[in-house]
Amino acid sequence: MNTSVIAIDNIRAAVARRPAELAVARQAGKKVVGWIGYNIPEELIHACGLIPIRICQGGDNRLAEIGANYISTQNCFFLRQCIGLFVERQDPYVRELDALATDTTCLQLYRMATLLEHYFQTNVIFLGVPKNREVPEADAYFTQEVGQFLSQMEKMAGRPLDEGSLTRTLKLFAGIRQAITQLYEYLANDRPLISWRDVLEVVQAGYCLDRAQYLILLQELLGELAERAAAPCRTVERRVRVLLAGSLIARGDTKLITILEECGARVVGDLIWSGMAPFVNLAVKEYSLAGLVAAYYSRLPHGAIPHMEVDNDDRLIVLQELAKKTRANGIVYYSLRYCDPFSFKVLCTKNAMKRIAVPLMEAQTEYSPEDTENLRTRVEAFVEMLDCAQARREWQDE
Amino acid sequence: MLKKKNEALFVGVDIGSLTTKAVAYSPSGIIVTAMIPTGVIPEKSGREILENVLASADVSRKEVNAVVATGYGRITAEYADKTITEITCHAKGAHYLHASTRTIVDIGGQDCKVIRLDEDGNVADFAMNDKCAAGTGRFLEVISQVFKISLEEMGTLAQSEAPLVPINNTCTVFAESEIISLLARGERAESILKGVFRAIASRVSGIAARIGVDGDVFFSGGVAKNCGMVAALEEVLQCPIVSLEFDPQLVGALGAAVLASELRVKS
Repeated sequence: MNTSVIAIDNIRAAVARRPAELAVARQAGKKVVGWIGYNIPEELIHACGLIPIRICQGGDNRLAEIGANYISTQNCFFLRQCIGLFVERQDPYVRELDALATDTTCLQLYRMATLLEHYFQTNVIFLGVPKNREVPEADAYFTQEVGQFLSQMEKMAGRPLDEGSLTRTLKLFAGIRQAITQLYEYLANDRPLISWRDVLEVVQAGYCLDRAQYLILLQELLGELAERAAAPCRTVERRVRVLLAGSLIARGDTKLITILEECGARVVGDLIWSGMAPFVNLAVKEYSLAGLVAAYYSRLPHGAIPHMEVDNDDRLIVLQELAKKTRANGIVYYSLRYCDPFSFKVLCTKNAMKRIAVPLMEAQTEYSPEDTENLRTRVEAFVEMLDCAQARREWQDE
Repeated sequence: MLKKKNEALFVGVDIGSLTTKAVAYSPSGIIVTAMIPTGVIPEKSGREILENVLASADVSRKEVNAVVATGYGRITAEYADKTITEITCHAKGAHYLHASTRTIVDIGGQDCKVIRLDEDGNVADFAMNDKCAAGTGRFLEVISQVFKISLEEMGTLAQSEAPLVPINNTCTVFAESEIISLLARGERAESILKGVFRAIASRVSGIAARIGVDGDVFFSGGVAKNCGMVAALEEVLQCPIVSLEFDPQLVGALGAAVLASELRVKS
């Protein structure tokens, strides 16, 4: 894969400059709101004139061990590392936070946030999320919670939300979502125009960059990819096409990505909450607070939201559709140890994918390096299995 | 068996965590096999076993058409033409030995796998333990040290009529402590060993449940040599285990050799 895409280098440079920019902005009186969660309406932070930063660092076993001094080791590695980040305060984004917003989608996350509040006096802003969207009270509850969340943002900003500002923000974020969707379409192209590692890096750059600048950089990248797609190409792509699903793969958590690349698999898409999942079915139809609430309320549910009927579970339906759309040969289901919302769903997801003849393999792992070779064997064997099945199909077609 | 003149020769090398195995194979059958303990440097063990089988088969490396390396040490095997995972190799080896195999239980030195096969010996699905070596060959080795008897003796003792004493842990460290406590309590060694094999079989059954067990069940890997383990597995999985003369510890290397011959056919 030729990764010398100029726009990606520009995004990397912007990310490298960002901590210094944040420090300057704070000195000038701007406030930074970090968020960890799955249903935080980031648009409200932005529209109030605050700087939203999604905290999403992973892959560091040392920090996860530090976090384990404060939370049980039977909580997922990502959250343990989050605590580690707040213990050390070396991360440039954690250092610059004025408040941390979090939601109650994942109860491990909620527990972690209460610990940050208790041990490190972090200013935590909680957003309640209904667990059962089937009952009529759920909608009203979420509307009320978002209203309270907005009040806290307004308080931090020292001014009420301006309607014009909200509209501009909603348009900006809609543009970002559209650009990310297009980026994933290039990823799934017959020709390898961009690697999944790069796509993930680009998506995650958006967690910290100024959103208006980010959209410009995304458009620059899409322009470059369009040129690449139009250029003639003679090489035939033979790598097996893999789709990623399951737990969140945070910035710095590169174990699985590296193994997949080394095993010769091509990742053509994902449905993870640090990748494409937050952009799926999140359409703000009306540029207003009510429109924003409705969009978040009806978005793709996170794995921690209960849904008892497997046959009409949106998450499984979306994954099936994505597997078909990306023509994936198989699905690697990333299961971060103790990430219960996703680990518990492996079997039903596997069975759902079996119905469309797409094999699924669970890649359960953690941030420590001990299981690297074990994981490599599992992934490599899965890629061999898919490769063999593809060769048989080609042979039959001939 | 001797290689026929002008017949192609293929070698499979399986560098496991505890032992390194090799099988030299030609289209007319298995020529020679070898096994040594895996040393500190897996790459060295792989080269050594390759030299051993070549010497036994009385051929030079140039006369070998293809070498496939497998096992956890495969990534160090620069001498091989290709590396393939042990999951694919065990499937191929078991299918070669017993074509109606549809499920393989492979318990090696540090891992345990359950593999489902299609009718052509291709991997259809698999499940594997994670980093924990509970209920694997290494676990049995530690337990044999507690009893100060060989692995074979453990199996024979567990076949006695003594009642089973359940073992609650398959974690090597916790199980060792639990067994010492049971011995101190005066429980019979035969009963405890029965419990040990049952505990491992139950763990395998948990892994097997993820992908299901179907058709003829083949047991490969070093632990498959243990009659106590075979009996416990048959009891827990509620099905007979395919019984063959071939050493189950060599199945991965055999599969690698067969796959080496297929590489040759494809090229």
